[in-house]
Amino acid sequence: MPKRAADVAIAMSQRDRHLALNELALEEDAKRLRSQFDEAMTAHRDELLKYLHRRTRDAELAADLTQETLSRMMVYRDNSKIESYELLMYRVAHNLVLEHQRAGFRRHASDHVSLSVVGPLRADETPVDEIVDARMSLELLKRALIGLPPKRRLAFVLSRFEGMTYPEVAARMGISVKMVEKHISKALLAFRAAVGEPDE
Amino acid sequence: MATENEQLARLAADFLARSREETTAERQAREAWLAKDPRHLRIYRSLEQLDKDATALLDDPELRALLKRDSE
Repeated sequence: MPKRAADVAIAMSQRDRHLALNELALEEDAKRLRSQFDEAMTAHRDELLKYLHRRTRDAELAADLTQETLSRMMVYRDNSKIESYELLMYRVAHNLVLEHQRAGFRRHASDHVSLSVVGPLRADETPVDEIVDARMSLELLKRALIGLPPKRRLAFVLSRFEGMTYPEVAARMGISVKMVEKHISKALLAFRAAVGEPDE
Repeated sequence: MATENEQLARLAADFLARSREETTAERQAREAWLAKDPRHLRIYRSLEQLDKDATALLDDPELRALLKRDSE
């Protein structure tokens, strides 16, 4: 009897140790994941701020949105399914810019709208599968952008990213405004072809 | 031979491309087209999302490297 009890005790302690080791390994994994996440966030923070500054042309707003993007990203801190935090981060940031635009945000600091008025945290509500799908779509989209004929891509970039008007793009590229529009239209169709039709 | 969806997509892309600097008459034409058929609106919205996503992606370092080459 005492012997058996001792065996049980040993067996249990071994199992406990085993479980404890497993738990430790899991904890280590989680820790590694988190530190990867934290490193990614730190590494991209400045770029993100610059990006948001370019998109909003407002330093204060860019700083706010950077903070908000990073805080929304925290939802994904323990998510091992996400391959590119960077891509996801820019998508979150991009959505934030759109939310602000939709909320009728104006650029002047005096009109500053609190972050709480822009509505629910969309990123929080997005299931992981959707995020993964979105990431894959973004990869396809990126390839489509790279695959555009150089002039078409340049027209798209000057218009969308540099914020030039069509006449400005036309003047810069030495082409007609109609041609600029055609480049934009064809670029959009190329994106659609690359990512796939969402319906029908 | 383009499918009906492709034809609709082309029209939608033209409307969307033009929408940035459209005249009042053009805007009315676009809105009428969008209101005419739910498929029009769906295709248009999906292109709009692609437009926004592609714009957001332009900050990618790989793309930036390509863009620098373009503008040289």
